[in-house]
Amino acid sequence: MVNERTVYLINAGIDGELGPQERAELDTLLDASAEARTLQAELRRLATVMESLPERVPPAGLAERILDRIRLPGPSRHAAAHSPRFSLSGLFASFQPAQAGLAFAAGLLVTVGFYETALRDGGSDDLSNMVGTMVANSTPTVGELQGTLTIAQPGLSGTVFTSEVGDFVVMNFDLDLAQRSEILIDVAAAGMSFGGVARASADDNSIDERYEVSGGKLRVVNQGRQQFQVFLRHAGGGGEGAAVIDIEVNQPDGGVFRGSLPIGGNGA
Amino acid sequence: MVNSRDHALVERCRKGDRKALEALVGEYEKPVYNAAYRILGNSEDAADATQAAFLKAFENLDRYDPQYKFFSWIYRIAVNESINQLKRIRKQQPLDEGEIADDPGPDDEFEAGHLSREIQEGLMSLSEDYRTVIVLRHFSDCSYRQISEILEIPEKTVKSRLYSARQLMKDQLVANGIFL
Repeated sequence: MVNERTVYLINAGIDGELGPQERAELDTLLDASAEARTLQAELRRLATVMESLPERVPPAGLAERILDRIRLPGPSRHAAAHSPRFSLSGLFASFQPAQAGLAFAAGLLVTVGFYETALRDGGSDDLSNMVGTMVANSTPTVGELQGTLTIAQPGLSGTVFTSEVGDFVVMNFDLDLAQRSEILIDVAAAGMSFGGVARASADDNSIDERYEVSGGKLRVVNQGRQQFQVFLRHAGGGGEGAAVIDIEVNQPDGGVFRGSLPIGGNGA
Repeated sequence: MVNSRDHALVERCRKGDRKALEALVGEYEKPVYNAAYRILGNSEDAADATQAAFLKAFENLDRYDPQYKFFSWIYRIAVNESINQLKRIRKQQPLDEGEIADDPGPDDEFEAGHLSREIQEGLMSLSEDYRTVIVLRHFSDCSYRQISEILEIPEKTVKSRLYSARQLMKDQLVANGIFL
């Protein structure tokens, strides 16, 4: 049995943390004990193997996603506060690159990132300071109410309502998700195209939130109290015709909620 | 010893300089991701933890104390994010689904069937405290002092955890006939 002092010295030696005196002490102990020598060889090999493993390569685009979501103080915020006001159509134009990439192609996956945060206190249809495909800390844009869905089931409660703001159909989410859940919004099936997301507020858990578009569906993964808006436009460019949009919420414990909301036309 | 280049970059970030931000993210993305990967055991969660760590670090840049290295600070946040992520995963997964399930990446092709998989499984069998010190020492090349700074624990505790963790890992690998 190798004693505690020897174990300490062997380990410190492997880490290169021994002084000359301790080094000499360890050498003496190793000379006297085959068991200590075996232990040293095994631990040294473990350390060597771990340190010789190749470094992992981060997934492509990770740095870009990180950079897209970081908002720095100073000039960036200042610029946002003085940015010209956007019309809804102007705002939509700023979504074009993302929209072109989304294109609802099967299997295509795009993570929507933060571009800029700006608190605003404008009117109900004022989308100034909304830059890029997502706005954090946005004041909800309400518009003309089209329909409301109330959800109350174990681990999931809240409301979703649709409204019309200019050319946009806006889905307004205010949900409380007890567990990290998946919200699927079938955008393409409703004849709509995705315009962007504005988050009004969220719990701290939202640091891991995900907004992705794949196969014509917007997928949101999150937990806790979630207040956000999804901006949609009619895929054909027009605003005519009434339809419904399907929402599904999948909870990790197997719970599923499915519901529909009217969009377009005069609503329900 | 503080890294004056990092401090200069942090100062520029505080003034809104995105070039400085790009430099810091470029410098630390890979080491932070690697540490997160070894703690979490799969690429997707590691990427999430890395992203969360950088977001948190830069959202709280005002709290960064320049008497410490930026390296220590971002690692501390990354380790905490990784551990938080582990807890969330455990809440969501039944125990029997908690094993390593990684998507094959470039490294996996090299590592498949090799000792590295056994090493990662050995790491995942350790408690978070033990795993973290092993990762910081052997995968992030941190000294006792740096680990102490990152984890905010005394050096004595670093040594004690590290020595116990190594012994446990070594015993497990030997028992599995993998090692030596």
